[in-house]
Amino acid sequence: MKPVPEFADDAWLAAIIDSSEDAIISKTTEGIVTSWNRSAERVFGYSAGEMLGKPLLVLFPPERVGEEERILERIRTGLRVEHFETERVRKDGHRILVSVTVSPIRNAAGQIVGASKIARDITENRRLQASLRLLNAELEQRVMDRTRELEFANREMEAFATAVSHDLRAPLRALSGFTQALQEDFGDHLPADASTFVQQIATAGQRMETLINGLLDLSRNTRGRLERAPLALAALAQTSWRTVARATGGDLPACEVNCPWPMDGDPRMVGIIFDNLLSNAVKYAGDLPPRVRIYQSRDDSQRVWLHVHNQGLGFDAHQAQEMFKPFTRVHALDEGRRDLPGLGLGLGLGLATVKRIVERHGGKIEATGVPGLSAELRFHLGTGAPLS
Amino acid sequence: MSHRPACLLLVEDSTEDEFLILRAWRQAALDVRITIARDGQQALDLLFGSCPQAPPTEPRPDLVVLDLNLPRVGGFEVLERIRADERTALIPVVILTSSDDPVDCARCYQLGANSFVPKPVDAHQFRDAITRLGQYWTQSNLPAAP
Ligand SMILES: Nc1ncnc2c1ncn2[C@@H]1O[C@H](COP(=O)(O)OP(=O)(O)OP(=O)(O)O)[C@@H](O)[C@H]1O
Ligand SMILES: [Mg+2]
Repeated sequence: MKPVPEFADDAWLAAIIDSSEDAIISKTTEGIVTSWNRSAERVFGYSAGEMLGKPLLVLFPPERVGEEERILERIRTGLRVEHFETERVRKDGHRILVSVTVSPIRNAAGQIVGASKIARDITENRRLQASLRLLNAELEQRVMDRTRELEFANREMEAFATAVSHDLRAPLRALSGFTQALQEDFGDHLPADASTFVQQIATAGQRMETLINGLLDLSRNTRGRLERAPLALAALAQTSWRTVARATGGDLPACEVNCPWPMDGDPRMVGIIFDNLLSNAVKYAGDLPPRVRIYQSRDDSQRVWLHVHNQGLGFDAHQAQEMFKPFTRVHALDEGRRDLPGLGLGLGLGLATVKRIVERHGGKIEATGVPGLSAELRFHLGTGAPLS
Repeated sequence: MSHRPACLLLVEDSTEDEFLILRAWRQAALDVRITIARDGQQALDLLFGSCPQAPPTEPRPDLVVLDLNLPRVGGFEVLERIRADERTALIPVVILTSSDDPVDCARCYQLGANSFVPKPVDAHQFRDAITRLGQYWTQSNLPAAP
């Protein structure tokens, strides 16, 4: 430590000390106060007049008086005490938490003649830290609780969907079977109207079966453990494209895939994403030839997005929001090529499935379209641990 | 082709399904004697005795057609018990169920089922599946040697 001049001698230094936020005190090697800045007055409540010439010990709580001797001991041997956190007592009797640094003061000859002490009131600081820790713990707990609730709710929901779908099939089978029996055994005796009615019952039953199968698919496709692995994006996309091409009779142009950036995800589930997005891209091509482009982009936070772009019927901003809801279709029945068998059940569950898969990855999906011209769906698959 | 009609135990709790199954086999003129159990416990009683309904002359069935979702004792357990007992271990068991869950299917084969047939909802497909099942397991397929 460099020799320090008498504080009073140096007006400039005195000004700095006086304007400091921290209490700056000097004392003799016996612990008698020799200087007391303005912040010391604020922190400890004693004025300079009250403290100069007095032992610093008045600031120590009874159980800590021993500390002063230990501090002075170190100082006398030329050592510093750094960021020592302790408790002191203000003039008004309140205890405060302080962080103190004490260093020896030497005279021009290098002898230790006293100590400078810088003290910072950290009471508020500590209180904030403690409440912050508490808040954090609380928040963590809440997140954990909520996650568990959600996981539970999801499992419950899936179990419910599966059970209901299975249970709904039994009465439906009866409906279908007995309708058939009625037609076969009594068809000849039924008035024409009655036959039509029976036919309508049969048709409604078929429709219901389709709906139930769709629900079962939705819960089946999106349930189970999510296994993150590096995705062979081009291969996955081309496999789906071939499936779609087969369903349309194979008259599709090539699908352009340009995906240089790696992405992680559950390969089976991402395959289902491609199946749905690509079959939509072909189904809703309208009168235009299906032209599909798959490419990637990176956003501000370096997340990789995958885009599926196609020309066709498109959709407006409102429809872009709506179409992710289960059983929602935004085009009239005769607009899309719903006639194509094998391109989904046409239930409006495809994008709901895709959204759920994306969200299970901790990712996000968005859609933008130009009505009558083009459609684009893009998603990222999150990064960290998958949400279950 | 066996000289006596095949004996078949149908374990089915739904009377509607029972009606449609029997109707399909009748229409296909399947030569079978059918005993029906309404739940898993009844099926076990019929197979292992202790059931007053069991005709004393009734031999063990040549085939068990088993639903999974059954009152009292479930289908999985019935299947396990059939396979665990040497008197019934060799009887072919066909699972005929509403479920088409691959998990259920795998479990049935693991427990020793000979076939897993999900019940189609559509009436035509249902009749078709039931008919083929009946024909294969009672006519094309030799019963296990006693
Ligand atoms: N690429 C697209 N271009 C234009 N409209 C689209 C596109 N993809 C989806 N849509 C619209 O969003 C609706 C919902 O799509 P979604 O895939 O959920 O259902 P779907 O294709 O009708 O039936 P499913 O997928 O269940 O067989 C579609 O009915 C269609 O109106
Ligand atoms: Mg779709």
